[in-house]
Amino acid sequence: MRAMSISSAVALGILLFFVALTSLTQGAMTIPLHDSLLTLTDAVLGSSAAELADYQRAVILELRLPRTLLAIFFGAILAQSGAAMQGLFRNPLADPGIIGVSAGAAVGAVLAIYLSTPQQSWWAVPLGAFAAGLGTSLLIYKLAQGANGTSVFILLLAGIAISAMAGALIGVVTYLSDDTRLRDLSLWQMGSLASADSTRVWIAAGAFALLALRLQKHAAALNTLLLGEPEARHLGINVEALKRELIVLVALGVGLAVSAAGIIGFVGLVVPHFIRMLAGPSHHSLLPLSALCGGLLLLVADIGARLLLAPAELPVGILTALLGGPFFVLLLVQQRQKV
Amino acid sequence: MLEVTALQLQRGNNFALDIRHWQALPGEVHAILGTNGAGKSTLLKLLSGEEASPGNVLLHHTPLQSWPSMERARHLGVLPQSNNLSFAFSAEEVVSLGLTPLTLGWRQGRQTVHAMMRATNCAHLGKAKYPALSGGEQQRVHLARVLVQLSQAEREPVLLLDEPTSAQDLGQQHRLMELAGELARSQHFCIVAILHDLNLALRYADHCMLLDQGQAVAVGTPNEVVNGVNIERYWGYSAQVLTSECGRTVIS
Repeated sequence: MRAMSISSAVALGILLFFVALTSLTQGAMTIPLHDSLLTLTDAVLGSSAAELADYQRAVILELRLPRTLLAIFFGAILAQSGAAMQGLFRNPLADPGIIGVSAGAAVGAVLAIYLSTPQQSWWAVPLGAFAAGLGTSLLIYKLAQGANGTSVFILLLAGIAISAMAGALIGVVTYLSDDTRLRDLSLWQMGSLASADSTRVWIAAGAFALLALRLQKHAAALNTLLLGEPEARHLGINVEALKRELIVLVALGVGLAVSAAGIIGFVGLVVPHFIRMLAGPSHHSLLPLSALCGGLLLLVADIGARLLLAPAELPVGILTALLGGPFFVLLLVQQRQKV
Repeated sequence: MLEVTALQLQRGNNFALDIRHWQALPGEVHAILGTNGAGKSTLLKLLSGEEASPGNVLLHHTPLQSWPSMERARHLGVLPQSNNLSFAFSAEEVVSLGLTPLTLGWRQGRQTVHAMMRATNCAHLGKAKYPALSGGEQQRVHLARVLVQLSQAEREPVLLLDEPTSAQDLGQQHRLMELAGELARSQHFCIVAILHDLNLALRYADHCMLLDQGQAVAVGTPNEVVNGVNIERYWGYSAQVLTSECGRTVIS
C-alpha cells in the first residue's frame, strides 16, 4: 500500500506538471509554445529570452498563470475537504456540500450580487458567500449537537433541509433579478475561474496550506474515526474537538473556493473515492493524494472550459460535472458488482 | 482495577442501572450475565466512559473522567460486539489502529501488531480486506486491535468485552475465552465480559454478576450465581444443572 501511494503520488505529480504547462501555453490567444515557455523561465530567472509583445506576456503571466494556480489550489482544497468530510461522516458518498457550505455560500453570493452595485461586487460577492457558508455550516453543526455528542444522522438531515431552504431563497432572488443580474447569477452558480488574480491566488494558497497541514496532523485520528465515534474515543481521540475543527476547516476552504469561483461540484466527491481505490482508505495517503488529484482534475476541467468553445468560455462547474458525473456512476456500478 | 460505587442511571422514572458497589481486580475474569434489556450494555458503556456516569467509575482509584484520554486508552480497551467499518482497510491496518495511543516506533509497532494477530488467531488474515471477512474474523481482528492498544500499559490494563463469543464458532469461542483467562493470569489483565452463554461463564469466569432491571441481583462465583433457581427466576427457563465427568457444572 505504501509503495502504491508513492508511485501514485509520482504519477499524479508528473501529470499535474504537464497539464499545468498545457494550461499556461494554450488558450484562446495563440502564442508560440517555445515563447510561452521562455516567458515562464524569464519570469523565474529575470532574463528576457522570449520574443513576445507585452500584451502576450501579460496573457501568460497575469491571466493564465494565476488561473492555473487557482484551479490547482481550489481543486486540492475541494478534494481534501471531501476526503475529510467522508471520514467524518464515515460515508464515502459524503460531500462538503452536505454540511451546507455550498448552499449557504450560494445564498450569500446571490444576495451579494443582488444587493451590490457592479463596482462593489468584486469584494461583496466573495465576502457574502464566505460569511454565509461559514454561518450555515456552524448553524447545522449546532443543530446536530446533542447531549451525547454530534449526531451524524441529524447533521445530514439538517444539511439537506437547509440546502432546500437555500435553494428556495436563491429562487426568490433569481425571480426578483433583472436580466443583467440574472446572467451574473447563473454564471456564478455554474462556477468559473476567470476571475483569478494574484490576490486570490495568495489567499487560496494560504487556505490550502492551512487545510493540508491541519488535516494531515489529524490523519491518524481520522482513521480511527472510520471505526466509529465510540471506538475513536476509546482509542484516546478527543472526537468532539476533532469534529469541530474539521467542520470549521472545511467550511473555510470550501466557502472560500465557492465564493471566489462559484459552485464547482463533484471534485470533493469523486477524487477521494478514486484515491481510495488506488491507494487504500488510510488518511495518511488519502489526504495528500486527493489534493494532487483534485488539483489535476479541476485544472483539466478548466482547460476544457477555456478551449472547447474558444474564444467563448464554458463554466468550469459544467465540465467537472460532465467529467465527474459519469465517472462516479462507473464507481457506483463497480462497487455494486463487488458486493 | 476497575471499581464502581453508587452507580445510578435514571431513564424516565426507572433506574436503568443501580449498582451500589462492585469491583474487578487485576488477574480476574468477570462475567456480566442477564437477560436482554437487563442493563448489561448500559453498564459496559458506563464502565468504558462512553456514557458519562453520575456515580463513580474508578480505574486504578482514579475516576475515568480524570484520566488523560491517551493514557486512559492505554489502560482501558473495549471490544465492541460488532463494527460496521465499510472502508476497505486490510485486517492488518485495522489492527494497527490500536497503535494510535501508543508511543512505539514503526518497527516495534509492526512487531506488536503481528504478535497480537497471532495471539488472536488472525495472523493469516493480514492482507485480507476487512469488509470481506466473516463476522467472527472481524471480531478477532478487533480483539487484536484492542490488545495492541493495551500493550503499553504501565499498570494492569482493563479489557471490556461485549459478547466476545457471539459471532465465533465453538472452537474459536473456547480459544477466545482461554486467551482471556491467559491474559488475566499471566499479564494481570482485568477482564470484564458480557456473556450470554452460561456454560462459558461457568467454565472461564472467576466472578459473575447477574443483572436484572439494572440491579445486581446476584454477585459471586459462577457456581453461586449460575444455579437452577436463578435461571428459573430470571430467564424463565427450568434448566438441568449437571455435573460433567471432570467435575464441572454444566447447564442444559
